[in-house]
Amino acid sequence: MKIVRDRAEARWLPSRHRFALFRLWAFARLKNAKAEPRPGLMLMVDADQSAVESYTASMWIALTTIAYVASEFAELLPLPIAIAVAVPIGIVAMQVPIYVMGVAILPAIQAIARTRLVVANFNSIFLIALHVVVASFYALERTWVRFVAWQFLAVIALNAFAAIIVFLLRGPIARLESEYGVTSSSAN
Amino acid sequence: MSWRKRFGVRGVFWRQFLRWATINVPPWIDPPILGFWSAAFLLWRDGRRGVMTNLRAIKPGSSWIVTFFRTYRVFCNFAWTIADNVRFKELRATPDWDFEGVEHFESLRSHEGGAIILTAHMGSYDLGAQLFAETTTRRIVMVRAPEIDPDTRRHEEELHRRTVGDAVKIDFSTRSSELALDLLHAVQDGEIVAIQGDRVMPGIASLPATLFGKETSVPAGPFALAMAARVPIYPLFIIRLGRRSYRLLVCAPIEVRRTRDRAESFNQAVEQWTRSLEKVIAASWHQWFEFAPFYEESAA
Repeated sequence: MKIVRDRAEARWLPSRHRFALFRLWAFARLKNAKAEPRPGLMLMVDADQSAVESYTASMWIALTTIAYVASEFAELLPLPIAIAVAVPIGIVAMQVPIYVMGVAILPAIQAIARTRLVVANFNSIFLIALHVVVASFYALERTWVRFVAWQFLAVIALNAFAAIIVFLLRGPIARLESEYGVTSSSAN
Repeated sequence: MSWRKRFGVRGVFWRQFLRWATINVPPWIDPPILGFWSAAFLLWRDGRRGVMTNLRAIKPGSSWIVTFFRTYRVFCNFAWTIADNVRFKELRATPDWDFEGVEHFESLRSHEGGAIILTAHMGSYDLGAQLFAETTTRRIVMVRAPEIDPDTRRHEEELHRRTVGDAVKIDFSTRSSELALDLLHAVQDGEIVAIQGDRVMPGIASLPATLFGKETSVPAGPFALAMAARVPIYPLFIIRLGRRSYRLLVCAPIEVRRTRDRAESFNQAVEQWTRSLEKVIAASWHQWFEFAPFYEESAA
C-alpha cells in the first residue's frame, strides 16, 4: 500500500476515495489545496480511506432503507412512531443482503467458478444494485416514499455522470497524484 | 452450556463473526453497522457497568444518562478498533497514522539495547505493535492477558500465527515466573517488550497507585524488569482519531533507578506512569477499553 508522509493535504487524493462523486470532489479540493506540511503524518492511499465518504455514503444507504421501512409501517402507525420503529429494523434490513450474499451466494459462486473473489467489492456492487431495484419499485408508489426513491436514483445517476467526468479527467488526476508519489498502479 | 460459552460475550463466535464481517462487509458501509452492533453489546451487563463505574471516576458529577451514552461511545470505539485490527491482519488495510512525541519515538527506535513499552488498553495496541515492528529491525514481545475462553484463545493464536510475522511475538501474562525470565533475556538481547500497564490480572504482582484520585494498582512486572535489566520504560499510547486514523503518542521515558530504597524507586516510576496514563485517559476517556472497574471500592 502506498503511503504519503508529512503532507496533510494528501487526504484529498482522489485515490483515497471510492465513489466517483467523492473522487471528483477530492480532485477539486486537492487541486486548490495549499501545502500543509505536518511532520509525523502517514496517510495511506486506499480507496476506502476517506471517513467523510464512508459516513456520508453509509448514512445515506441507512436513511434510505429506514425511509422504505417507515413507509410500510406508516400504513399501520402514525408517521413518528413508524419512523421510530423503522430505525432499528432498517439498520438490520440493510445488513441482510450482505449476510445472505456472504453466507450463501458468494461461496456458491466461488465454488462453481473455482476462483477467489474480492468479496467486499462484490457485496458493494450487489448492495447498490439491490438498492437501485428497490428504489425503482418505491419510485412508482404514490406516497411520500417516492421522493426518497427518486433522490436515490438521482444520486446514482449523478455518480454515473461523475464517473464519466473522472474518466475524462484521468490524465490531470494522475498527474496531480504523481506529485504525491501515487501512480495508478500504486493506488489500491 | 458449551453453546452459551460459544455465543457469550467472550465466546469464539463473535471473533469468527468479526473476521467474517471484515472480509464480507464493504468498508464504506461500516459506520451504521458498527454503531448497531455496539448498541447490541451494551446488553453485556458486566462490561457496561464496569465502563460506567470507570467513567464516573474519570468524569465525576455526570448524570447517569450522560455516562450511559459515554459508555456507548466507548463500546463504539472498541468495535471500530477491533474491526480495524482484524481488517489489517486479514486484508492489510492500514489506517492513517499521526505521531506525537516523535523525538521520544525516535529515541525508542534508536535506543541501543532493549527497552520496555508500557501501554494501556487503548486504541489498537496490536496495530501499534505492527507499525512499530515495520519501522524497526528489532523484535517486539507483547505481553498480554490471555483470552478466558479456550476456543477464543485458539482462534486468536491461529489468526496471529497466520497473519503476523515473527517480528511481533505474543506472550501471556499468566505464566508469571517463567515469563519474567524470558522477558529479562529478551530485553537483555536488545528486544522490545510491550506490556499493558493499566490492568492487573489475578495472581500477578502489583504496585499501589492512584488514578483519578482512586486507589488502584498497576502491574509490578514492567518496573521490576526495567530495574533488573537497567532499561528505560517508554509510555506509548495508540489513540483512535477517527475512522481508519490513529495517533501514536510516545511520552518521555521513565528510568527506574537502582537505589537502596527499591520501594521509593518503584513509587517514583509508578507515579510518572500514572501521570501519563491519567493525562491520556482524561483526554481520550472514550478509548479506554477497561471493562472492569479499575478501583477497589466499586469492585467490592
